[in-house]
Amino acid sequence: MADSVWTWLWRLSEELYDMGEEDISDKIDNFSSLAYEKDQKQVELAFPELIAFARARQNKWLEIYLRHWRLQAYVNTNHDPRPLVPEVLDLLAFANEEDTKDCPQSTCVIDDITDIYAAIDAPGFALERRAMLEETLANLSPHIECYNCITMSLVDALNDQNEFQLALDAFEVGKRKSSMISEDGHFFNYLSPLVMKSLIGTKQYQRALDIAERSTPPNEDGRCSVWALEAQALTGLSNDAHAITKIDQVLAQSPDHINVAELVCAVRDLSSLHTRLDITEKLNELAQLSLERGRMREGFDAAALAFECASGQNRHDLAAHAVTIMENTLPHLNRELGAADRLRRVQAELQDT
Amino acid sequence: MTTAQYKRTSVDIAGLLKVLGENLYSRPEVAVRELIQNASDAISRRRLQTGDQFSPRIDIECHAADNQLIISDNGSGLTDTEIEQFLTRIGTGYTRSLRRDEESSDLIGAFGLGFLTAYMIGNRVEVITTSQTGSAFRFLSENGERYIVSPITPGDVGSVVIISLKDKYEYLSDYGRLLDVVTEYCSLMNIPIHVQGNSEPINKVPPWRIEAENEPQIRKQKRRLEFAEIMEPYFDPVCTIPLDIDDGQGLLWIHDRSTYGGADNRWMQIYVRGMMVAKNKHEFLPGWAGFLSGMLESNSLNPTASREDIIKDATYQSARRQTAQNLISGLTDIAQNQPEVWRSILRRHNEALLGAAIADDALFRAIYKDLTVPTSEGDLGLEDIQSRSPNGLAIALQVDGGADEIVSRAFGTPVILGYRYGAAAMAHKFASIHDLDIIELGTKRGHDVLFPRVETDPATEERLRHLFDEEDQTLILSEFDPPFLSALNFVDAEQSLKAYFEDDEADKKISQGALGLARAFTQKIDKQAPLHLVINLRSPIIKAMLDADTSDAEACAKTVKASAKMLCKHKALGTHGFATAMENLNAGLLAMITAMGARNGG
Repeated sequence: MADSVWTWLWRLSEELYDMGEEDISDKIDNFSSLAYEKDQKQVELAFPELIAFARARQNKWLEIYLRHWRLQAYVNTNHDPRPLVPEVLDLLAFANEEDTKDCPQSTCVIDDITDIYAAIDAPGFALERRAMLEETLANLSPHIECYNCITMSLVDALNDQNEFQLALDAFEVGKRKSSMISEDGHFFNYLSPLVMKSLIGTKQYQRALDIAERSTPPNEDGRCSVWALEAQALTGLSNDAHAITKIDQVLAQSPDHINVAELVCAVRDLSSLHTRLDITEKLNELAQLSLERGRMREGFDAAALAFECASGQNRHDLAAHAVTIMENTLPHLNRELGAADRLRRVQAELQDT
Repeated sequence: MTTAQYKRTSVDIAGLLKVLGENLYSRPEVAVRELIQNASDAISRRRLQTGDQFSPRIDIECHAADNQLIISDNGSGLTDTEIEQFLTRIGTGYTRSLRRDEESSDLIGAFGLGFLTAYMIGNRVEVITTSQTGSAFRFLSENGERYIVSPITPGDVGSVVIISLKDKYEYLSDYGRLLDVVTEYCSLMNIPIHVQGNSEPINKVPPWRIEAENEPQIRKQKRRLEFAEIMEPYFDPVCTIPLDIDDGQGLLWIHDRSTYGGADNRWMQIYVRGMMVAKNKHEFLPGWAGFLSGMLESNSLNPTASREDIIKDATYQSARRQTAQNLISGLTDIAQNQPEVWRSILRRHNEALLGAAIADDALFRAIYKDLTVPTSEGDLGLEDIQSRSPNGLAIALQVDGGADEIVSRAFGTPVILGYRYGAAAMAHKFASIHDLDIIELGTKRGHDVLFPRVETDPATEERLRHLFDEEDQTLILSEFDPPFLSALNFVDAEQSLKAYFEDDEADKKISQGALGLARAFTQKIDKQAPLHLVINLRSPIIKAMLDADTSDAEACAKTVKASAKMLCKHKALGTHGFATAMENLNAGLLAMITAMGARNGG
């Protein structure tokens, strides 16, 4: 693999311009930005024409680029990840042939796979994600952009396995090898929530808050994640009042931007919030949304916490709804990791009330 | 040993100017704007502080022979103290404190850097100023590092700034260039600006400042269109949409030029306190709005330090959102109340409007009936397509839709060309609102809709399997229209995936981690041959074959299978497969004709 993705893309754009295909060139150039900015509707509008162009010209590298960014736009905008599995596996096969394996975007398909499976059940697929990412990193030069994304995904997978120290180690290795991962680097703002999670997992709460202070989340999703993680760190430092402020900031946002998993962790740690009806209702709402969006683990965990809160508040209706969501999400978890036992307990508890 | 003591930080003027020129301001022409801004602020100050009745005016002249630029105003002028404070001390902007004290939004300056820009473009700066207090002075500086101030005989209240341009900026002493720069930045300013003594100022009065509520709509539209024609740099406008947001007003206009979907000709200028701050801020407009331009004037937006862009804070985001809403309401209004204009827009921008309709539900509902999508039978409206598609909307996602596209065409169903901009997304949205099925040609979902599986009696099934079963091919019995399509081949994509990942060859190509996940998925798929042959039990040929004697039926089956493969056109068939299919077709037909001949005693 000789070129970086962007060098290759720039060269392709130039070639298309020289061939008189200025409009297509602009659209191709702009396509990854649309995905980056999570403008999934515009991605879907542009994709059919561009993929037809790539296939008509048998430009397989361009096809990989388009299909990769389309998948990224889908999975990062709350769409159900499960229908994407056949497409991403097909892309994996496509990107590993003799005439495609050197495409700079081929490695990114690993990220597509890990993102899609993480969206379905992050802890349930963490083992497989970790294995795939470690294997990929071992064969990847740190001078290629993909190294940064794969490192980020590995930190994420290790966090999902509760291997927080290993996650920090992976971050440190990445920092040593790639300047973009360092705290002055471009990737840091994307990586910082993951590093915060690792620090919180290893009880380094103040360091996690320091990271939050230094980072500038690139979008509203990032901001919500950082607030939820700050809440967890503040709770760790027994600063409950400030933690609640952060959680309230998250709750005020659109559900589309809320990182459900981090919010659940933040609320779980703060027992004083379990008596708030608005929290219970919000958790139920998010659990329902997660179920509809195919985000099964998030839905299960949010519903489980909603049940606890609802039970404590004697809200049988909300508790029953939470149990229904747990029942609907459990079969879709890759590894239940104690979820089945948890469900049995809440079902019994519900029956007793 | 010397004792530690505090010392004053010094500034390297030459170094600071370099930073300004190379890092803060993107273009040297910005200096002209900054100096005009200072002149404007001086006039505003005079109004605020003295209540004088006077006709405000700013004059800009260029003298190419002397390589000079001269900016004059009849504003407040400066006292000697003010000269020391504001012309020779960097970072102390009078305007900022005055704006705060007077709570006036007419004052533009903020950062105390404006006058310094004179040294960016000039190697000698002279200011002749008569203050509103009655004193008058001449300030002279070479390169900003040293200066001299001397008293002079007072003239009319105001200031004249004379810049001797550096060689590389002598183009600013060219009238045409200067006029372009001043017009670009200052045309919406409230204070008349005259270039080179022209009696007509360069200022334009935007329609939103002078429209009266009870004015006839047609007059307003005419004025808006005329304004858009003057301001639009590239295209003619075909119609306008007024922009009215919190603490901001402006105008949007639609281009009179055909666009294809996804073409991005957005153009947007943003003005703060009459001064153009952001040029071609196209990202301010929605991504689908590639067919329009606009201008916004808002005093709430916060410029960056160089005043060449807007800070993307919450105010900016809110303005952006409201602009998008205005645009959608405006388009909806045109669609509903201005039919001729709407028709004109549709002729030019149908494809781009598909993108707009997808982006907003309210706009979709307002305009979808007027939009067309490309189909196998030309551009058609979605309701028209729906009326002719009893089984659901058929969408081809690839240029060659394969066997199922043939079925759709045979049935007379228009096939939506989903690989064209906006077509597939529009069809999906329409289908979801009207609870219609979508048949994505070439996909498993599409096949399941077009070729529903049926069961038949065991004897019939056995006969059909005898006639049609082949290795590496899955037989599917179905009933579908049109009946004259006897059989079709298509490839099951999931089976292809299964075959690929479960083959040992995959271990050589794919990393073990990824392969593990892939196999976990494919192992849940029941194994079948990837090539499917669908037999249409409604076909008269198939029915006749079931009643025919075996040798005739076998000959016919050969022909039917061959024609199915040829229609399939799948790359899996390959050249050899296609050639074999042709041979079998011929062999089958020959066998049938031979059998007929034998029966006729020939």
